[in-house]
Amino acid sequence: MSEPSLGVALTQTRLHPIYLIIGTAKTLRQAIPFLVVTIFGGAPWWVSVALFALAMVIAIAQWLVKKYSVVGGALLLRSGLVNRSVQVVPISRITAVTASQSLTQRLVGVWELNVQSPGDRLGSAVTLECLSGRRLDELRAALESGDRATLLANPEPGPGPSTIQRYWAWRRTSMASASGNNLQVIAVLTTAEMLIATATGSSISLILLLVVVVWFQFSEYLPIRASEFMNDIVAPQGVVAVLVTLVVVAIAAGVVVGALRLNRFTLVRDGDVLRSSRGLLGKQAATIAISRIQAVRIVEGFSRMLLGYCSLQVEVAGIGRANVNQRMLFPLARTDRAESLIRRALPELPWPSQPLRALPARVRRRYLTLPLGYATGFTVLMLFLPGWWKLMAAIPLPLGYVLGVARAREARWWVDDQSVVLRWRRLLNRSTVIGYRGGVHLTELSSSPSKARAGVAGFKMRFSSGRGAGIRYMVDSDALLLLRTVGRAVV
Amino acid sequence: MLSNVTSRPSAGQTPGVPSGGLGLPRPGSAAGAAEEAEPSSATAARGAEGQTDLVASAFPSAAAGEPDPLLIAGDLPTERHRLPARVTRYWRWRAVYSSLPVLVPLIIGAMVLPWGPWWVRWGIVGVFVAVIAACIILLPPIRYRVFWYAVSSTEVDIQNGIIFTKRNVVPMRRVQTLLTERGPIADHYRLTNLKIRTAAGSVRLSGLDRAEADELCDRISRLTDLADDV
Repeated sequence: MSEPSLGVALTQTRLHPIYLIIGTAKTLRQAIPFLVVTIFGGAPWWVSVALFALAMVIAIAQWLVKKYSVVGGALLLRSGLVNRSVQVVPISRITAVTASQSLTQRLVGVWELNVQSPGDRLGSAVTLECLSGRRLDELRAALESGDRATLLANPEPGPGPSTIQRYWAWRRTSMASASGNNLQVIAVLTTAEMLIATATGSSISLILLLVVVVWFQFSEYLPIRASEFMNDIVAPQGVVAVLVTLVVVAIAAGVVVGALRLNRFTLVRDGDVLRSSRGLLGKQAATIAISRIQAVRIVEGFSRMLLGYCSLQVEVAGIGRANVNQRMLFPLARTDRAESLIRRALPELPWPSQPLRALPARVRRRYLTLPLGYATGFTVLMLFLPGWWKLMAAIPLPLGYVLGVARAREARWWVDDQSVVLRWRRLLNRSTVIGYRGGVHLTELSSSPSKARAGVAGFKMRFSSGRGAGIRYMVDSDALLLLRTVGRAVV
Repeated sequence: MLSNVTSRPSAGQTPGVPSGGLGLPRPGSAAGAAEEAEPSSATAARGAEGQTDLVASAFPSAAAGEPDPLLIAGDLPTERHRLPARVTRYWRWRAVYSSLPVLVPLIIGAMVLPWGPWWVRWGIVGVFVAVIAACIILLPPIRYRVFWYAVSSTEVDIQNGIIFTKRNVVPMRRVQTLLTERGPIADHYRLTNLKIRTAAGSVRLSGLDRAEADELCDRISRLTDLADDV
C-alpha cells in the first residue's frame, strides 16, 4: 500500500452556489410544520416571508461554512453552523467514489459525489451535494493522486494535466467509446439487454403489486382521466381485462424505471480502478478501486437462468446490502460469457485451478431434510383449508423435494492457495462467489449433534461488505479445511 | 504464549465437533500420495486420504513439508480455554432479569384482565414460568460445556452454541474494534463481556474473567497493529 502524500492536493473549496437553492429547499422542507401554521393559521404575509428569508440566510451560512479539501492524504469536509464538524476520510481508506446526477442536477449541470469507506454499510461516509463538472474532476483527480506513491517525490502534487486529461477522456467514455490512454471498455449494456434485465428483475413484480393495491384499495385517488378510462372502458370487460391492463401498466412502468436506471451501462477498466456509468435522465458514475474488491458474485435469478443470463456484483467494504446499485459490476451478462467478462475487468482475480467440487451422495441426502420439513408443515396447514382448496396440500411436498434436490446438486466449492469459491442455491437464486482466499473477514463452521454423527458440517464466510456466502451441508473435513484456510493471510 | 493470558484450565474435546474425522492429515504423506480417487469420491471417503489429495493439490506450499501449516488456534485441545465456572450463575441471573419484562406483564394481565376462567389465565402463566425455569436451569451448563475460545498470533477461534454449535474464526488482521462491557450482575461476579468487531460482523465472548478480559484485549490489540487492507 502506498503512503499518502502529505501535501495540499486540493485547497479548501466551497460547493457550487446552486447549493443555495437546494439548501433553501432543504431548510424549507424542515420548516414545513411552521409554514403550515403560519399560512393556514392566518398569520400576516410578512411572517411567511420572514421564514423564507431565514431559510435562505441559513442556507447561505451553511454554504459559506461547508468547505472540502484534500490535505495530507485525507479528504476533509468542514461543515456545521452551530456544531462545527470536520469529517476526515483518509484517502487510503476510500473504497468507492460514486458521482451521480438527478434530472434537476443534470439540467443545472452539477453532480453529487458520494465517498464510501469501510464500516459504514448504510450510507456514504461523505456526500458532497453540488459540484460542477470541473470541480468534480479536480476532486476526483486529487483523491486519486493523493494515494499514489509516485507523488511522494513531488511535495505539491496538485491535479496534473495528464490526470485531468484522463478524466476528460473518462467522461467522454461514459457517453461513447473509449479512445487511447489506459482506458479499456469492458462491456456496454445494449438496449435489448437492458429490456431483458428489466423484464427479469424484481421491479415489474413490485410495481404490479403496487398498481393492484392502488386500483383495488385507493382508486378514488387516481387521476380523473385514468380512473375514467378504467371505469368506462376496461372495467365493463371483466376482472381479467382489469388485471391485464394493470400488468401492461406495470410492464410499461418497469421498462421506464429500468431504462432510467440502467440505460447504456458502461463498464470501463482504467488503470487500477473500475468505472461504470449509466442512466437515462439522471446519471451515475461509480469508481471502485481494484485493490478493494474482495470477491465477485455471480447471481443467477430464476427467470434469468432460464434465459441463460446472470448479473455480476462485487464485494467491497462499505458497500453492503443497502447499496444495490453501487455493488453492481454489470447488470446482465450471458452466463457462458460471464467468466470472460470478469477476467477482462479483473484479470487480478484468482480463478480456481481445478473444477469446482460437488458434494458426495451421503451429504446430498441431508439437503432434503429442511425443505421437506417445511413442506410437511405447510401440507398440514393446507389440509385445514375449506372445500377443494384442500387439494393445494399436494403442492408443498413435491416442491420441497425439488428444492432440496436442486440445492444439493448445485452446491459446489473450491479452495486453493489464492482463491475460494462457493456456489449455492437459496430458493430461486443461485449464487457463485469467487473471492481472494485472504480477503474474507469472518468464517463460521456450524454443527449439531445429528450433523456431527453424520460427518456433516456447514460453512459460512463473510466479507467486509457485511454480505456472506455459505454451504449448509458439506463433508465435515472439507468444511474444516475451509475454516482453516479461508481468511488466513496468503503468504 | 496463551498461558500468559489466562490460567484457566483448558477444555478437552467438545461435543458437536468430532475429533478424528476433522483432523487433517499431514500434507504430502504417503497415504495422500497414493490416493488417486476422483474428486467426489475423494471427499465421500471422508477423512484422511481424500483430504490429503485436495490439500496437496490445492496448497502446494502446504505440501512442502512444514509441520501442519493448516492448523488454527482451536485445533490444539491444549490451547482451548473455557470460561470461569461461575459464569453459569451469571448467565442464570441474567436470564432471570431478562425474563421479567415478559413475566411481569403476564402475571399482571392474569390478575387484572377478566378473560376466561382463572385456571386458564394462571395455567398460561404457569406454562411460561415452567419453560423459562427449565431453560434457566438446564441451558447454562450445556452452554458452558460447549463454549471454548483460543487465541493465537494470527486468529481468534471461538466455539459457542447450545444444540447447534458454531465455530467462528476471526483473522487477527481483520479485527477492527474491541468492546468490553459489564453490567451490575457481571460486575458482581467479576466478569466481563467482550465483543470482537470486524468489518464483516462481530463475535461475542460472554462472561470472561475480568482480569482475563483485560489481558485478552491488550493482547489482541497488540497483535492487530498491522497494516490495513480492508
